[in-house]
Amino acid sequence: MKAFWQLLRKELLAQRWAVGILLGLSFVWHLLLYSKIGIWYPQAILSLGLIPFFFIHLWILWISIQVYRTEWAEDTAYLLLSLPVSSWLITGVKLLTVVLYTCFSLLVIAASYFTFFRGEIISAIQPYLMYLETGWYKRDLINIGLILFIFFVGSIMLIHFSYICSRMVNRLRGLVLIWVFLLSNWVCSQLANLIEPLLNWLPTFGVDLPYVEFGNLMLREYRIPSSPFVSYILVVFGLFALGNWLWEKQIELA
Amino acid sequence: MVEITGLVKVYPDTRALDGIDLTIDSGKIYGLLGPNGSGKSTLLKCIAGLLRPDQGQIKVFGQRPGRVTKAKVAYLPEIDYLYRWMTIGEIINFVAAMYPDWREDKVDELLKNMNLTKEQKINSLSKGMRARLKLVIAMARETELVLLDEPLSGLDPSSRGKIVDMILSEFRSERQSVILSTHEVGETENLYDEVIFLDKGTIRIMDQAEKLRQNHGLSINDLFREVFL
Amino acid sequence: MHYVKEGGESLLKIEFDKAQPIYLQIIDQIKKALARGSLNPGDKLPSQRELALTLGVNPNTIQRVYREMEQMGLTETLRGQGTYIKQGDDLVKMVRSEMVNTVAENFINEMLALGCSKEEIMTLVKQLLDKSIKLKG
Repeated sequence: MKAFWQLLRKELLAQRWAVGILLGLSFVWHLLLYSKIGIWYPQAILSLGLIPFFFIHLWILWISIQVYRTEWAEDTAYLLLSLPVSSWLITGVKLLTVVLYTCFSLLVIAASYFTFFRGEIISAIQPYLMYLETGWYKRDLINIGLILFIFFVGSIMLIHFSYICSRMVNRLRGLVLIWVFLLSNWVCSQLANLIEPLLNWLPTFGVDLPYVEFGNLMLREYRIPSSPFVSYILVVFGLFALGNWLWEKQIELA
Repeated sequence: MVEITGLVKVYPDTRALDGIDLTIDSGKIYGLLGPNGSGKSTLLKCIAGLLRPDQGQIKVFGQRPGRVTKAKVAYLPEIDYLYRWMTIGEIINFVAAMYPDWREDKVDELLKNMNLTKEQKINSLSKGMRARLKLVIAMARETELVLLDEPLSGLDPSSRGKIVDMILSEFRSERQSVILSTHEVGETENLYDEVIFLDKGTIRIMDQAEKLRQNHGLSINDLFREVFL
Repeated sequence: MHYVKEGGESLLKIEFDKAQPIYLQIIDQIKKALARGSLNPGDKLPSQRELALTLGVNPNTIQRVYREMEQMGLTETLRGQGTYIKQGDDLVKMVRSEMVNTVAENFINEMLALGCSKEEIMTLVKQLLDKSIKLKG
């Protein structure tokens, strides 16, 4: 347990600059837009204010690689690989670091968005507030959020797997990294399709899609099977396990 | 404690190790001597479990190098492998949490002997201080096997002296072995029980240091010069 | 250069000639200290660890030094108390004569190897001896 906390502390501190840069840029961007309130159209400001949320995808990609790359760039891989701890602890903490920092960044950027443009947001959603009174969207938020979270964590796991694979070769590592990442996504979808029929006994879950008819809010429920998601999780987990095996048994430090 | 048979390690451009047979016994200090590129680092990395043999095998405490043996081996690499943005105190806490054999009570004394304090930042340390810190971390564990890769390379005389003194004072001859690699014998002359001369990935000479002095009428340092220069 | 001190007194002064086994050189120095009288029967020797650290020598080498000296009858180890130079005047005499003999033999062998005759050696020794006594006197 002590090892886990020390590793997590180390990862969080080592990557704090990456988060600082992201949040700093986002803050400056929102501040710039804030100064344009009353000059630009409110819709334009609200849309442009969302840019950090799109940019964060690239940032996740970058920091996912960064948590591994820095270990080699700064020779600390020698320390990390001579520790007598399970590879799962090391790779797990790296994964957790990206997840924690992404969630944290999303929260901070969202808070900044809502704080800077509170007035604009309120007046933009004013006409629709009556539709939200029943709170029907709560289940949707949880379910869709969960799906996005699965694919988000799955993608990071595949990036990490790809990085470890790229460490198995001596040249063209960047190319190998990209190639393995694309290939592993393809393998994931293929294998997940293969496994999925075996899991079709798993329950379905519902998502409500709203529409407005004669000024009334109507909901149409879609039932979505959970088996594709579970099979995706299983395959990603399998590849991540393979990455862990490579980490412990195959990676070399020349 | 270490059994190596027919060890071969090939890099894309060279055979770094070309058939090494070696047994490391308990309670001795081994000098792994050879010029740069003779395969010293590669051999230590193989024992430490950071490189895997292409041929032959290595047994450390009867097992292939891996997570289990890493808990029993202290490895000091030649490069600076510590997180530079940490303070000495932080890196000590970090490694202390990783090794079950960490001697918490010993660390402060070792740091003091090396003129280091926990508040110092690693990226502000001189080369000699960083080398001393690396040795503290290697020696603060209760391990039976210590691998020191070029612990004196490129250091000032005062740091070299301190490092040799600490190896001597912390060496537990009843149940520990040290393998020290170096490309210049110098002040490590009196340290060795056994000496291994490595040349282009093969063992050139392997014997007790005292025997070599007696048989050749030369110090290890002079013998090294004669063999390699 | 190293000094071993026990109770403030300098016992050994060793400048290693590394071409010889180190354990032999240390034994030799201890014998010389005995012959000189700077080490006496009944004196306690430093612990092996202490001596290893002060001389900057592998502890196994010192262990060998102590083992060999004990076998030679130079020292005795009292359990729980440490290693002492053996009691008795004979010991010092023996060590001293042994060392003197060795030095003299070496000298004579070298002189003979250089082709000196017995008379030559005798006169040379007498001359040099007179000179150095005069210098010191």
